[in-house]
Amino acid sequence: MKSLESAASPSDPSSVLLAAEGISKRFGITQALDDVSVTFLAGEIHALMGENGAGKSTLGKVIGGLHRQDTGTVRIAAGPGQMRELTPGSIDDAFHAGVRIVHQELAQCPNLTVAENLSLHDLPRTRMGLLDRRAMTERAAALVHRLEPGIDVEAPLGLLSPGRRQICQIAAALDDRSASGGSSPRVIVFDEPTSSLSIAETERLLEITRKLAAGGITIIYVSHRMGEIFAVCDRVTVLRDGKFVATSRVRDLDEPTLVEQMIGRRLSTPTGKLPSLAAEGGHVAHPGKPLLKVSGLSSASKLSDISLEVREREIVGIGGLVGSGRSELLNAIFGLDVHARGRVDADGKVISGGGPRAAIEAGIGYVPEDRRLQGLFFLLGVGENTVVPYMKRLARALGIRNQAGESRLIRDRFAEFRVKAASPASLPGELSGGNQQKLLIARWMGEGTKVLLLDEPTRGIDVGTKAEIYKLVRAAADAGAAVLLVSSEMPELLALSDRILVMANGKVTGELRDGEMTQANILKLATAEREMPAGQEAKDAGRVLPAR
Amino acid sequence: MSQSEHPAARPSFFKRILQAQESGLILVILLMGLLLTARGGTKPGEMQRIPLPEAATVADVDGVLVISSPTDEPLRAVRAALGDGGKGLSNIRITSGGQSVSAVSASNPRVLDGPPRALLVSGSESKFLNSQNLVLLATQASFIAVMAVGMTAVIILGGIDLSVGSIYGLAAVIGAFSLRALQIRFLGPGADVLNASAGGAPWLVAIPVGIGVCCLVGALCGVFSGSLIVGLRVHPFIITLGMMAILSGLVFVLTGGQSVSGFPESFTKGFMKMPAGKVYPVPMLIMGLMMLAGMFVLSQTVLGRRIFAIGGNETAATYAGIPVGRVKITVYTISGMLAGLSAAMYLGYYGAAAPGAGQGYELDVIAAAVIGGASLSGGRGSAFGAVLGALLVQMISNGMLVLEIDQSYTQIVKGAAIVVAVVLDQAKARLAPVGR
Ligand SMILES: Nc1ncnc2c1ncn2[C@@H]1O[C@H](COP(=O)(O)OP(=O)(O)OP(=O)(O)O)[C@@H](O)[C@H]1O
Ligand SMILES: [Mg+2]
Repeated sequence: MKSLESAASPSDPSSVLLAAEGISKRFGITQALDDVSVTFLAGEIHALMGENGAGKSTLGKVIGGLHRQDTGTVRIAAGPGQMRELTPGSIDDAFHAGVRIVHQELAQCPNLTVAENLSLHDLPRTRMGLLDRRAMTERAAALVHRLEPGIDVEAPLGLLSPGRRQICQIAAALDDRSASGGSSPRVIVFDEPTSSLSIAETERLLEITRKLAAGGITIIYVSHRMGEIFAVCDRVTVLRDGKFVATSRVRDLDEPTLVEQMIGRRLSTPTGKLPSLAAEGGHVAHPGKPLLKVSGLSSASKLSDISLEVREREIVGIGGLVGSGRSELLNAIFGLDVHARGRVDADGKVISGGGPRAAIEAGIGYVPEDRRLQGLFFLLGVGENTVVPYMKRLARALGIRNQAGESRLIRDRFAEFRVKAASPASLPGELSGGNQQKLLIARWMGEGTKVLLLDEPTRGIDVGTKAEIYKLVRAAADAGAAVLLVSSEMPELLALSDRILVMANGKVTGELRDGEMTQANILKLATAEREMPAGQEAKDAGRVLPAR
Repeated sequence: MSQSEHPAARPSFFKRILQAQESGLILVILLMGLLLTARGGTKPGEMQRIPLPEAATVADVDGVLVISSPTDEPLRAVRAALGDGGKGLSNIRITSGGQSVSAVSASNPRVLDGPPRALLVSGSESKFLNSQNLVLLATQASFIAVMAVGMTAVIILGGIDLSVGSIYGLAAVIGAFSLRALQIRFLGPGADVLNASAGGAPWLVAIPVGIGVCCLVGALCGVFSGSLIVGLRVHPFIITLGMMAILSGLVFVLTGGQSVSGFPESFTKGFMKMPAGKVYPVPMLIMGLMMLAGMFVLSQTVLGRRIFAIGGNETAATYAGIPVGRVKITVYTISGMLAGLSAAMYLGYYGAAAPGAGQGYELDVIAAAVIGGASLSGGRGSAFGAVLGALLVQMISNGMLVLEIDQSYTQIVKGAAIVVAVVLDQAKARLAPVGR
């Protein structure tokens, strides 16, 4: 799998394509980058790693001209043996030099079609000067289908799953514009590209990444997933608190050493091989009374007749492929789906029909899949973002806010979930991606939450914190909560769940317990009922995240 | 982690006011005031009566009033009262012993014959910067400002209410009918309600009826549009546009195009137009009160924060269990109610409801809210800003009068002011991406 040898790059592998030298960047009181120097070689896949808020995205944005560094220069190879300085803070200059960024947060127009999104910069015209829809569709299809053949490029982008939206964004970055007088990509920054991809999509992306690197393109790869780093990356640079720690060759490293570089200490439970937390404490044998009971839940074409039960002190995982209806199920349980039929009981109370209010009052907390769209209020402070659902409960008479109580709750939650924010008045946009996610978890997990619905809860969260969050979820369960966990990350699902339900096509296709809980079994059930072209099915089932 | 140790580090209430974007708005208002003072010219001010000494003689020489006396002594007091004038054009000249001592230009100098003899002049004062004009400006702004506070809440929510002007009109008309009916009840049938100088409904009844009816009408209109917006999931622009037309039509049906008057004096001269010295402070007081209430509700209550949350991200608000529909209806209700309150102020202040009352007010009100910093894409805005915005909008109308520019240009300038305000607001957001 190590690709330094296999990626026979046409250009000299040791030639420097891009060099960031002495980069510093400060946001208010946060020193996001502090004198960081990294060189990127032509045709290498270079991982950037570090905890949440270490400065990875900021470095990527400085390279791409989205942020203007306070000091330091970014230089890119221009002709043999020559380097040219990129104008600081100029997106145009970086773009013309061939720098592309696939952002951590999705930046697209959901109301336009996939094809339109991909052609926004230069919509193709017919000779009459009208929009050439055919050319646009063809170009988009060529770009997208390389990554994911199943995407309908004429569908509005907003209808796609987050994973597929992410793929479209990657496709846009790969667009070679040299033919139309533009530039071809030479450096692509992938900022956590796989955080919303399914296993099959991830594998396809990794494959593409290798091919691109083999073609001489430099890939800067930001990810918290160890498996991917060890599977595709040649070198890795670690940042900690905005400072450069080390650049090493991946094959000279092992996971514990890498983690140690990132967090400055050794982690007791490396995430790659999480011990089955479920086995600790022996609570599996006696989960308590059922806290969440779902019977005959159906909704239009998305869910059909789902019944399940989650007991006190139990974590039930839900496996399945993207689009199998897992998020729809959580939405319906939380009362967000007005078309849902069926009955949901939480803690002995019927909550179906009562909307999210009833769910929250019954003690359900829900960390939704898309933190930007469904989670955060970007114009409110991070503190208020946390207490929004509880403001009413904390308030004094006449709905007057109890700010002391709110501050106390904010302080407690931030400390418990290690949300790194300058102050409760900071805006969520100023937080690193991982900290935004932690903010959302901090909102919903805490005392008073009896049933916890988690949809990809550790998306974008660093290894150290991930382990912490696993412990917190387990602790919440041990303290009596019932947890329903949706995750596309197999190790996470396997490590946390007491039992696993697998969904396909809006139905529960099976339940796995104890020894049956394996990646292979999950995939078998997940593809069991999939109505798909025959070949596709086998491919999806067969591709598994490379074991490390 | 060390950074999150800050307790709820929110700046103090006072500091927030200073830091807020409103400081820029205050600056604009002051600059505009300066401009109007400088360019607006002067007008005759108050009459001044200067006693003339017996010894002096007064003659009109080619339109110049010549006051003379053999000695300077008796004229000193007159000179002091008139002040030393410029050297140029003058219409009063004072001579003593045949020698011209001073020349003053005053407006409308007249001599009042007959004992005691006196000189009448009116001092000149700035057309803009005089207490009468400023008070008038603030009073007229208060009608807009009260509605702008409600509009700000609507806009923060991500909505718009085009019907405030018509709600104002309808509330005024129904309020006027009620007040007249009340007056008739107290005076007895057949009494001349229009010219009853005394008697009529006491304030204890008239004020609650006047304010209550107007607010109730406004609130009902708000509930109605709010429910339609939420229930039918139609954009508020459409619903309130429809409401605007329906309600203003209703006003004409109800009044038949006639104005309505004959209110209890306890509501007009006894309350809304109660004099204190030379000013009628009640509308301004109500404006201040509503501004404070708006600031309090928006920042210190659960409802207020929910409004901001919904305007910022409605989907996330739904996921956070905020009763989005209920909050929306509440906010449109409040906006309607404030339009009603404003109508009550108008009834009491002017003592009559004209059938065209409130027409075109939506432009002023929306302008005030937007100039005051409310973002039409939702999630941003302030009640204090709205009141300042209303002052600025009123200042534009007032300035057109002062500068003697054709009134038809007022709308053009107001429109331009909205555009400039929004552009400035966005430029500022781009310049300072960090912090609040
Ligand atoms: N626009 C901004 N305004 C203020 N602070 C910012 C801004 N962008 C980033 N920061 C701060 O800079 C630091 C580094 O952020 P960055 O996004 O680079 O982290 P990251 O390494 O990408 O983390 P993650 O893994 O969570 O995505 C963080 O502390 C963050 O709060
Ligand atoms: Mg990041």
